[in-house]
Amino acid sequence: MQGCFVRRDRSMASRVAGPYVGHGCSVAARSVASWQRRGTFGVRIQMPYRLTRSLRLMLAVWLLCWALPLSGWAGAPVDFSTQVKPILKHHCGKCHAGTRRQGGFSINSRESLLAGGDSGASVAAGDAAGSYLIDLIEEEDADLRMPQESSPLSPEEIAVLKAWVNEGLAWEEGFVFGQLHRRASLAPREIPLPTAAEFDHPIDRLLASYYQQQAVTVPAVVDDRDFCRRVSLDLTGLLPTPERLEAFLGDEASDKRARLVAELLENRRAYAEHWLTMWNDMLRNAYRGPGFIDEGRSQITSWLYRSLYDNKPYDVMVHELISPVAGSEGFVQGIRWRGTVNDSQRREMQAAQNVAQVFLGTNIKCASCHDSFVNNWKVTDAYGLAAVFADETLELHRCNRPMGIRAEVSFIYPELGVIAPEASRAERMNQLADMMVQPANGRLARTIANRLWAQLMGRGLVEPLDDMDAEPWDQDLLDWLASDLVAHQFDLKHTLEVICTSRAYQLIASDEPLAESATRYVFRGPLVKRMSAEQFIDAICSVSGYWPAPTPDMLQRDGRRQGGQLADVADLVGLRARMIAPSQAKWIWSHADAQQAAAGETVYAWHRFAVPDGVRQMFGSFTADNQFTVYLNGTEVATSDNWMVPLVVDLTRFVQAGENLIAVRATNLGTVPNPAGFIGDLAPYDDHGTILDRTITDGTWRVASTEPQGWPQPAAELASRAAVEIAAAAAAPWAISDRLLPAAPVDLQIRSVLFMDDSLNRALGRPNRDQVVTRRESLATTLQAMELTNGDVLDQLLAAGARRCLERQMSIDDLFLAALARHPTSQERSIGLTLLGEVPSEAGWADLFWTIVMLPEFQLIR
Amino acid sequence: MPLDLQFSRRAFLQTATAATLASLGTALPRSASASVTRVLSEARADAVIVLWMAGGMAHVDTFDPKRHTPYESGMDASGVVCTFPTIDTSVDNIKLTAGLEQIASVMDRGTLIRSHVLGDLGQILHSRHQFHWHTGYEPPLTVAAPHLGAWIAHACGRRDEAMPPFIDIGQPYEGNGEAEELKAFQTAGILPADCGPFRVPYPDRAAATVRPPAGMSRQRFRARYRAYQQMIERAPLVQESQGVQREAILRSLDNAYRLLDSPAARAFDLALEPQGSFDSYNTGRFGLGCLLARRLVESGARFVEVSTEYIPFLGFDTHDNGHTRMISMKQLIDRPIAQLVRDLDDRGLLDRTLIVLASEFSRAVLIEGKADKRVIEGQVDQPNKIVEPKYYGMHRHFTGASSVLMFGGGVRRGSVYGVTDEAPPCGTIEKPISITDLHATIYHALGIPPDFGVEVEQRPFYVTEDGKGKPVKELFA
Repeated sequence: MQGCFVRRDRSMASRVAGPYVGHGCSVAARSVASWQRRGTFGVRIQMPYRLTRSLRLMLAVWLLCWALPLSGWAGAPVDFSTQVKPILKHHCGKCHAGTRRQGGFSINSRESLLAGGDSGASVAAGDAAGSYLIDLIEEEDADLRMPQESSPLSPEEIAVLKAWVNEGLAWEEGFVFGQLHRRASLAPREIPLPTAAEFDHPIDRLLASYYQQQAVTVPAVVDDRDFCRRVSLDLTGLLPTPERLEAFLGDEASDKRARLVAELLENRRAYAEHWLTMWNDMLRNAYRGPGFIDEGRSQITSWLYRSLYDNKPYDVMVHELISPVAGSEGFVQGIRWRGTVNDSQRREMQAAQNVAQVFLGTNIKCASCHDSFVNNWKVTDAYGLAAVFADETLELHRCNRPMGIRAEVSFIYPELGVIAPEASRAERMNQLADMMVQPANGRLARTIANRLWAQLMGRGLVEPLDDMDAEPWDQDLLDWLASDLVAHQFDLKHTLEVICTSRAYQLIASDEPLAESATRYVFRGPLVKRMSAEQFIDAICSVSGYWPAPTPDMLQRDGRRQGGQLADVADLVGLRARMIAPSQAKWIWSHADAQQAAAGETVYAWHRFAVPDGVRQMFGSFTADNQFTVYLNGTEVATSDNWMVPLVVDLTRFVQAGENLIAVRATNLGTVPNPAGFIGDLAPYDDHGTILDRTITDGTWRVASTEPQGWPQPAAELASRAAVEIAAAAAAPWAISDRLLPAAPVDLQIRSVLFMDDSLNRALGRPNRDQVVTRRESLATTLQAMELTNGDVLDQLLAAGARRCLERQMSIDDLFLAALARHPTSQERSIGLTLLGEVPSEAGWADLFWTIVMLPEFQLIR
Repeated sequence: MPLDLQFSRRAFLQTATAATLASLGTALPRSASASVTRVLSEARADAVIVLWMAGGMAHVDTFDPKRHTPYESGMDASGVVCTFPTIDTSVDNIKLTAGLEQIASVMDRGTLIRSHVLGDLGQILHSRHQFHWHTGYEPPLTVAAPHLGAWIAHACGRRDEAMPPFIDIGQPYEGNGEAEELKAFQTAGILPADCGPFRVPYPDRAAATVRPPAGMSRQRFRARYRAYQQMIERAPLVQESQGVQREAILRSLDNAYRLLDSPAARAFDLALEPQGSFDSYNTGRFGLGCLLARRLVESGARFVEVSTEYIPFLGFDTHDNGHTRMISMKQLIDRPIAQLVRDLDDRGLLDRTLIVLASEFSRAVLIEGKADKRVIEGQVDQPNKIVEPKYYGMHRHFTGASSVLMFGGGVRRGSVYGVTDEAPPCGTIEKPISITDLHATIYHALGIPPDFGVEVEQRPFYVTEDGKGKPVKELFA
């Protein structure tokens, strides 16, 4: 026994009672009383030590018999960082790290560990058997054992600690557990620019001293090709067209890079559609997702797209998100799942969490359940902010247990002002919005400036991006960027322009293996980035010139208010209102009793139509209850068995001048008589995207109940009868008129960001927008590679792109220029020619296209 | 014929440094950092197969028989206890309901838990209970919770370097009114994306998921990859030759191709299964899913889930015609599950493969949720007197007891755990097991402690809620 224990005063114990226990915390608040009873490092333990010693020895022997070889460290010394640190932090940190020194004992450093606590020494380096800490974690009596707060250490963990002690208590140099949480200054800070030395740009002037201090050898600036490709992708998400690239390369003017930056930012639509990705992730604006099912969620697509399109000042955006205007309500409204949810996920709390994270770069998620241990926020802070958004008085809950305390409206940075608790909800939200965007809140501008920097440079001035209390690698630069943004009326494009015109942005990018985790990060220019899902898909489309047609669900909101995102911005992307008018097509069948058609009944239907002159592109939309296959001029063009989702097909390459024949085989499935029908709508577009005469299913179609001779190209005079019109597209039981829509016409270039999620864009990183996502992971994964290698979505995109390449009579050089911003080498050209074959085929082009878009050179932004 | 893709792998990947590759293999997302607990204990099982009875399988009409009350027109709904007669199993003291004769015949090889109690989430809804069961956490959450399979893939790693560690079989999204809710938990969440599900919605078409795209011959597929490798090797740019992003792209494509070239790919192809064996599983999509699961586990899959497919109001989501629909569901599941158990056992794999059959909740005739909870207005219109067969069966969502069947992975053979009430709604009266503890038990079989986790946003996030799960060690032999 190593000295006597000292009883800590009860107020100390109760002050830290009910600490963090884990994430969801449903059991966390279980019992303060029992916690106190069980004692801590500092509570008197009266049981004689020797009573349990023989038992402990038996355990130790047993452990040695099997535990050591299993965990794979036999022979090798224990590694502090990967083996010991997690155990100490996890099991001891709650009471003995940082400012918490229960029993006078702290694990913060090797020294404090050796110093022991009120009861004396805790560990003897090199002697686990003589170390009191080991005794305590091995104690069988739960009332005496450490840790008191949670389950005992596993035999394997104990064995790790013993080996570590026996090996002399190795420690990571400079490492300290539970370092105090830094708190960044809130106020803006004006940074006088250093006098221009080598470079004149403000960022480079500020960085000059940084480079000097860090002894950084500044890399060279990228060449014009790389710059043009990088900045185009970074600002608009699109590759430069070969024409633009050529013009840029041929431009002799010294300010051509700055002019290119300005030109890209002036492309309002391209800019909006690129940055929409980041904002959709951050504001978790999903086109469909959990919560919509019973109106527990709403989109902000229209408001968001327009805000970006108009380059709305950031302070206005933030104000409108916190104190909503028409169309921006979805953000603070949050996501309501059915049933009762954890109190830390009530909608008011979601609003508070997301406002804090997205706009202020601070995490109050922990504090919405219990006083945080990752930063300084308390439950009262989180509820105070949540109360701003509440219709009724909130009661504080700790880990989902009511605390008997009413939340009082407050702001997490009271130095910025107060919100009147008695004001209406709308007025409180307005006051909060005012407070957020006032100049005194330097944190708002710093947070967004840091996010933009990270988007362009691959890493923030502050990391993690959502913890703006962490130390920036250059405080002056961060503060200058923030002040400059404010000085320019929160013009986000201005900040992007400033960064992109700096020499720092234009440096050669580095792609080093996880440098920051190995050593301290030092800025040496941008990191190589990988294209996002949206950039990758758009790049493929722009290279070939083939852009997929929008799907009906993008054009029309469904009953749960999902989808319709494209219709929201139709006027801005060049869609004409008439294009999304409901279809006039009729459900047809072979007889009038189609509501009670026999199971398994099959109908053959066909129709001849002429394609009007001047057709540039033709789309068809079809569905059947239940199964159908459509042939156009003898070629199968569509088949499906899901009546709820009409297929939209680009028919352009199947139609011919003059008369065309469309033929459909439709089958009613099921086991008992049930409704049957087929419906279709074919829309030809001219060069301007105007719809010419549509062909629809109606009573002019011919039908037969058995397969006509010559099918699927039946002769005109075959025995047949007129189709029976069963119902209008909008009629029950299908009610699909709003989904049976012609697709968009040529060259609208509807970008990936506006499409629904699919297996390709999800595999490439488009997140479930159920949580705020402020950074996507970009490293390639095997699951992605499976999708890229075998997936249907990319395969079809490349096949359609290949057809377009053939139509445009593209050369291998054209492909390289469009995709890689360079010509192929002679070797590359010959590899490509081998793939294409002597007479270039669609398959050959698709394969060549695949090899190019899989190249790191294509996928990486360097 | 296996693809000949190895010819230039060495050259293709020669720039990869050992350090780079090591970091690629284990890299967590930057948003999540090192594991909270890294030490695994001794594992009893190497692989897990979850057989998911999607939609809420009634315990009294399947694995927990009660007094049989045959249909009579005019019977009191409250008098319906169990709509199937009891049958014997290969274990004296374990009885099942008629229609599960095949599973009954292998009951001596597993443990039946009758006392699984699902969460009280206020309202008993498929989407939230499915999320809860698969992640161990109640939605919504501030971080994306990983699926059980993703945790296991992350903690235990791959068993086979080509085989995806987590494979999800039998749950398409297309046309499903609750697809978004399914996507919310069928995810790696905060874990590395490669821990996420490799989805095989249609087991009969599984081979296509590891084959060239439709319409592309193997020859063409091979030529395409060969051309790609040549392009890489002959890339003109010096700066192209290094870097972690580049390595990740090359490595991932190589992994994908390796799967195609490996015995693992053949495991996906049910056409390679002997006809007799194929037929013995083939009761429909679920049956073939069980067959695929066996083949995948034999070839090194770590975690496989086979779903009967959740579609609102279909499958086990019996809001009407409960009795007749249960007959057809039993026809779907009985034979293939028993065959799966027998096959794995015969091949000596059952001892190291844990099979878990479960559902998001059970059903009862009248009681919704807890006994004192009010039924939500309009949810099920069950009359007090049953005059039509469609009202005969277990229709309402019930969380008070649910049956879980376990085989292999060190679980006791021929054992039963927990007791439910004989009187409707037949809730748990002995040895309740929560999701948290059931998960802890599954993780325990794999050597994963209940407080294994990762750090995300500087806080720990554990495999079981708050790291507090307690494995039911009594279930193991």
